[in-house]
Amino acid sequence: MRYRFHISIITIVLSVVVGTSAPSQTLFQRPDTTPNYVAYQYPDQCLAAVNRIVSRVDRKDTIWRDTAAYDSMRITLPVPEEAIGVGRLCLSQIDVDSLFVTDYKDIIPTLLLINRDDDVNRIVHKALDNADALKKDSIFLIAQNAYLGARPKRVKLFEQLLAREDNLYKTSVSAGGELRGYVRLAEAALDLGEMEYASNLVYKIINENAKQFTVDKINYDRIGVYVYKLLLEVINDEAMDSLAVSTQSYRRFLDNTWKKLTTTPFPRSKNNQNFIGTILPQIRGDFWYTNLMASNGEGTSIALSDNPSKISPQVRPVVGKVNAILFLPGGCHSQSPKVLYGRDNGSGRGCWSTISLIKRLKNRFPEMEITVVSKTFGSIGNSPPLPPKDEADSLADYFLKFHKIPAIHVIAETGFIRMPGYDKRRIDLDVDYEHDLEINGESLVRELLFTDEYGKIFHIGGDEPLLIKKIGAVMRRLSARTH
Amino acid sequence: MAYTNRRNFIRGTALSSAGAALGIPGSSRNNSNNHTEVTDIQDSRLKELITVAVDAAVETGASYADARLSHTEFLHAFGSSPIRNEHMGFGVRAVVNGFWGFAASPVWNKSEAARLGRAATAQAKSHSLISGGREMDLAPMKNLESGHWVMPIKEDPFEMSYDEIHDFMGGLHRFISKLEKVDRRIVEFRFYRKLKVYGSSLGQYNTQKLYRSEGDVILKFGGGVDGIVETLSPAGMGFELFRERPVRETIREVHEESLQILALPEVPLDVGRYETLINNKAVADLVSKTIGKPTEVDTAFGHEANAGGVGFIDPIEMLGSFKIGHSLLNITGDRSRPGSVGLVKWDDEGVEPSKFDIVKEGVVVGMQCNREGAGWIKDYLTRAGKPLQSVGCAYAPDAIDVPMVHNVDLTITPSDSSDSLDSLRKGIKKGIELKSPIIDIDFQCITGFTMLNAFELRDGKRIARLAHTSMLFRTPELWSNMIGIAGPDSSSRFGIETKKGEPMQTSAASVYSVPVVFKEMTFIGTR
Amino acid sequence: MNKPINDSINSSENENTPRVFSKQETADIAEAAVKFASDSGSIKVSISSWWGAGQRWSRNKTSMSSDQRDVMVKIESKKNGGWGEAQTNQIDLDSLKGVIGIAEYYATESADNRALDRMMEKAFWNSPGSNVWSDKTFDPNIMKFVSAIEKVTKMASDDSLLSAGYVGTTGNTAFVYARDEWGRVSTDWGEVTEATCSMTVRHPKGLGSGWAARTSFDISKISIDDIANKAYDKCKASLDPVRIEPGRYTAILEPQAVGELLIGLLWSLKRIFPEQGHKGSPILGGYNQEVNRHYSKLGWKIVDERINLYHDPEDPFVGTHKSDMVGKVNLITNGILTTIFNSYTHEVNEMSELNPSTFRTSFRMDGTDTSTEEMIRGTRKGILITKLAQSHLIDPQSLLFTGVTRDGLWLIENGKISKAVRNFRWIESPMFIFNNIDQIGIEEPISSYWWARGKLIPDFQNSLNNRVVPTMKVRDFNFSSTIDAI
Repeated sequence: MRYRFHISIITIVLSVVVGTSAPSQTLFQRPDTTPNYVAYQYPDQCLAAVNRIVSRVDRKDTIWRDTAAYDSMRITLPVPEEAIGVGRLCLSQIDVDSLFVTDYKDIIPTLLLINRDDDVNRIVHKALDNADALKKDSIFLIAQNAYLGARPKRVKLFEQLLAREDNLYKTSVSAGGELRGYVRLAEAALDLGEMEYASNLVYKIINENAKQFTVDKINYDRIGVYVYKLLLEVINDEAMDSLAVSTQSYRRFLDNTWKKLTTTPFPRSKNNQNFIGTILPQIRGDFWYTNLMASNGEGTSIALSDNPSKISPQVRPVVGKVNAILFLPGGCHSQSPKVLYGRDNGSGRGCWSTISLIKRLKNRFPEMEITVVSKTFGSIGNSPPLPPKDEADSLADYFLKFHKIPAIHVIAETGFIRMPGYDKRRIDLDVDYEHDLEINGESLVRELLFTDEYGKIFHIGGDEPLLIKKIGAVMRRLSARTH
Repeated sequence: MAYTNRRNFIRGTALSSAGAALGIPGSSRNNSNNHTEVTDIQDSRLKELITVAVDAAVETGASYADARLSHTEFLHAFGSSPIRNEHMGFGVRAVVNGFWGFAASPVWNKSEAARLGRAATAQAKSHSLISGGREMDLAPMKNLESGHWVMPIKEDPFEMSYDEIHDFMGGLHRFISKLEKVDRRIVEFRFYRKLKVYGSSLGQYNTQKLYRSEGDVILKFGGGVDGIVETLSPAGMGFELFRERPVRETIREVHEESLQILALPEVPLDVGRYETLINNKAVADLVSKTIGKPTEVDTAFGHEANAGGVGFIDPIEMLGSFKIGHSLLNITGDRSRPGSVGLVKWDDEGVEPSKFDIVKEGVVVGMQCNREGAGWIKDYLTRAGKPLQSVGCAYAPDAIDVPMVHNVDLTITPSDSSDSLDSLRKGIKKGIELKSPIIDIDFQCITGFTMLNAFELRDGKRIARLAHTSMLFRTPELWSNMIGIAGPDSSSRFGIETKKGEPMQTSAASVYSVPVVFKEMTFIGTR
Repeated sequence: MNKPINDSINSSENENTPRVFSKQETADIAEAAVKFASDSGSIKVSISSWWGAGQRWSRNKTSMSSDQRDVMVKIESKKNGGWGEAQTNQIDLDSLKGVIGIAEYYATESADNRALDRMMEKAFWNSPGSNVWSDKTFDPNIMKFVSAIEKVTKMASDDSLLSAGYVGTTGNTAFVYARDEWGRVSTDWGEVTEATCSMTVRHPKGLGSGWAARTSFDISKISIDDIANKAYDKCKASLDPVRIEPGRYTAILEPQAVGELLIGLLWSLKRIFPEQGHKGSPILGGYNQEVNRHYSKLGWKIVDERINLYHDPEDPFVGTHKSDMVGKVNLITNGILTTIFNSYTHEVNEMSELNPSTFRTSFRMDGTDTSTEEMIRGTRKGILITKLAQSHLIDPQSLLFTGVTRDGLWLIENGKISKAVRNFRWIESPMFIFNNIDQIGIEEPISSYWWARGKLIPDFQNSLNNRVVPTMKVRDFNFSSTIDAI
């Protein structure tokens, strides 16, 4: 016998303690002190302090809860008051004019955070006055990153900077300018909703550089791709009108707009936009599940692989409706409830945000059909390997029951080969839907695809604000037809 | 500084559940209403615990007993959320017929105190039952001073807001990230605060509050070159270790030196003997490993034979006469220098440490002793006209560890010149410089071997990194080959960890050292 | 309990009281602790208790006889992507509340997202089964050790030699409770004992030294007498060693020395290193673009074909982790590398069936009937090595280690041990040595002789060191220089 006592003393003791509950001050109490920010010696310490407070407050916001995903709109939130107060205190004893350029990386973001924009403008311009070309470049980048990383973005300051350094950052490539600064300026303006400003700038860039946006150029430095994306945003309202006609007319509109502006054909780069208008092949899978048949629309996941005829409609994407197709990657799998605590491979974060996005969209557009597409990997998280059917069960359990995605879940069984000899590691082969979705040597399997009533792809990827507009346009078209 | 964290201390109630599980039958009921708070380490109830333990040991037959309480807090600072640990220990040591017995647990209450006292005696007794007695001559105590002492520090990291520590580290992170060619960086601080209570059957009772701070600040460059800020090794200081030292200046120096090293070509070694410059961190390591270790009295007498090894210095034959190095070599042991990680008012046997010579003008004249060890060299001490007493080297990392002789803070006496690492280097026409290499020494601390970080010197300058180069040395030859010692301005303190014992214990001691030049050291290639 | 010690010295009071927590007790503590935790986020509570008894002797007398206990409660908390961690060894309610409070506070107030992609791991660590617990090891009857030590120290003192050694036994139990963001709870429990005995017999003037040791979870598999005899004989035989020229010699490595090199080899077998971008192992290779995998020398013959190295949980000497997740692992079969250590994620994500090859430090290497005497008889000139100590890796690319020999080194000439020789510093790679084998001898359990106080972190997987290794005769072992230490 190893344990010679027969009663559980612990239980008795604990019950006694609960009765005589003791004051709860323990060693682990933290000292009740606030840092003396005024005494901070270096600007980098001030920045560390305000960053700490900002991320602390951000993280406590509901958007960071474990069960919700990162929301890209976070950067539009106001800076927490506490951080501003600390920044002010911390910088109160620091004479910003006497600082070295090496400190700018730390001091500028902090100054912007506490709204001392004038000071920033002054020291940046003074520094640029005294700098040689090489230094200028680095000062410019420090300022650019600080202006565009600030909450809110400092578009006006950035514009002044660009104007001043126009010799370095011209809007025209042929005149030796790099466009990045202006592209970022336009992006920032769009983020802030300054549509007119942004669209003027984008047209200006395109006009001055029309000849530059050839296929080669785009593939070479991708700046054309950024400009093209900007263009899409500034012409978005018009584009939506064409999307409301059909996906094909939307695509034509984009091509024509490009051609009109640049006089060159639309650059057929390896770009998601290329697939707009393509008809998505039917998704093939070995196991089918849904939670749509439960009376309340969610609830239990029902395994239907033995009787797929019960799934209605049986064909995905569903013709006549807007469809969201989610290809959920392997990282999500490790979070399945079948594995009590799988170690997340890091990609799980993407799954969370995609799932949150799709649920928000479904909330807005209840008519949208969702199809979750997965394939088996042979294992989930850190649990022992499972037979494909069991793995599929647990995946459906996870996406349909735990995450409550109102969807049909299609799962393909993945064939595999093994590394030869003693290595034995598994190499997965392509599954049916991956074969089907390979078009011109390129795979259509992306995290998110959206198809219209004809099964044509009208959007690939996330981008919530744009998606809301696009889905809205297709929905308007559908409802116009039914009425 | 007041001990402001109020603490439920002599814990009745649930604590005794641990007690029960750990072998104190019945204590749960006896103490269930005894829940009291102790706000200060000087609380008399702690003395009671010690007294109960020591009395229990003596009553069951111990001729001598001592007891320790330790309460260690640990703060590992990295990122915005640190790791916080606490550990409490209670250990009792007893002597029966010259045999030591020891018993320890994490439970602080009276019934456990009594159990530990009895158990320590029982352990000691078990051996005397069979093998009679064992000679033991505990050196007399200089005095039996009792009292309370707090290590003099300026800023208690445990009383600071962690946010401030975070911002300080965050600032350093940003500072380093702006330095040229730095790939990655590590900024981590660690802090310990230790309360120690000691009492013995001689009637002595004292309490101490000790601190230890240390930091890893490392600049990682590509190509396997790391810039390490060595001055942040363990120290008996508070947060001022980071605040008061010009850390940023040191980082800049480390950065600059690393860039210079990166720019050097790597060449193979031309095997042979070279004049060799060794930096102060490496000299500190050498002092600790070649002189600190073999002059621990228990290592010297063979008590570590089955663990770390027996030191090569035979205390009976060599003490007072063995020439271990050049007459320039002077090494002292001293636990009283502020800032030292080994700084205490009383050691783990209640002895107030004294400053003592270990090597004087190249001759080994002293050993790091506890009370029992001083007895072992009684003849020498008498012969040399030294007092028969412990110099205060007893140390137990925590109260649940058996006290042993550990390295104390050591100092290699600088020359009275104004020489520095740079000026010593300038004086070398053709030679090798070792900058903080890994030093491996055999289990008798006599034949050693260095790895990595060797540079070729020509006309007073580093001209190349030497690949796969090791220095071979024998301890006495090494120290005899000393030809130049830097002056007091180049002296730096390094906290160095050492291990010994079964089960193994780790302790840290400071070494104050200076750069040294050695003649004709042997270098070999290792590949 | 307070009866006089003298009456019951063979079953001193320690024996009748529990010294480590039972499963129920740890579960109760965890339950009490978790009550203080908030409902949000996830939490992991690890509770561990430890007892160790040690008899240490030197200069033929016991220098310390000890009984130590400790506990640990470690809290890890994750909230909103923040991480907090704290630890105590006090288990009253205030401390539990405090330790949980501080871990949760830092998780909540954390300003970084350290834990965002760090899910709380399942409470699971390849639990060892009952075959790593031995009641005999946990028996605290120190008198058995006292008599044994008395006997072996007397043997040394009768011959004017000095004996030093250590006999230690430990028992360790651990319990983990984990609750994730969705309230799913998992728990796990494990218990393990370890016994070690090591001994050095030494000439009082340092003219010779002999050593022997064993480690096992089961004390009954360790014979203190045998260890003593061996250490004693080695000391006698090693007196007055002579200095011989360093260089490459044929060497007969006793099991302890072979074990040291095997451990060096073992550490290089972790698949995780190259895939994280670490370079420099002769076994793990580069990246194969075609299959998008890192390749290794799996399936290649990396050492002599007589080498068979494996871990079998059913092995009564190695006996370690027994659970349905862990089976037998063949590391090297007929010289061919048959397994490399996967991380657990590799294991389940990529292997065919559960391939139990996560890292472990216990192993057996097959031997033969060839006795060491026979090996010596067949050696014209060579060195017999007892132990390789203080090994350091100096070049990861060639797996080159350096260290020293210790506690017994002899020159063999014309089939006989001719004299004891001074110790050497050696610089050698297991990759070279295990490809230059002449003979393999009889296998026996060896010792992991460095162990620290209390293993309070419940990580049994890497803490068990039960190894069985044969003697080996190899060619051209590289002794780089003589050292003075004896």
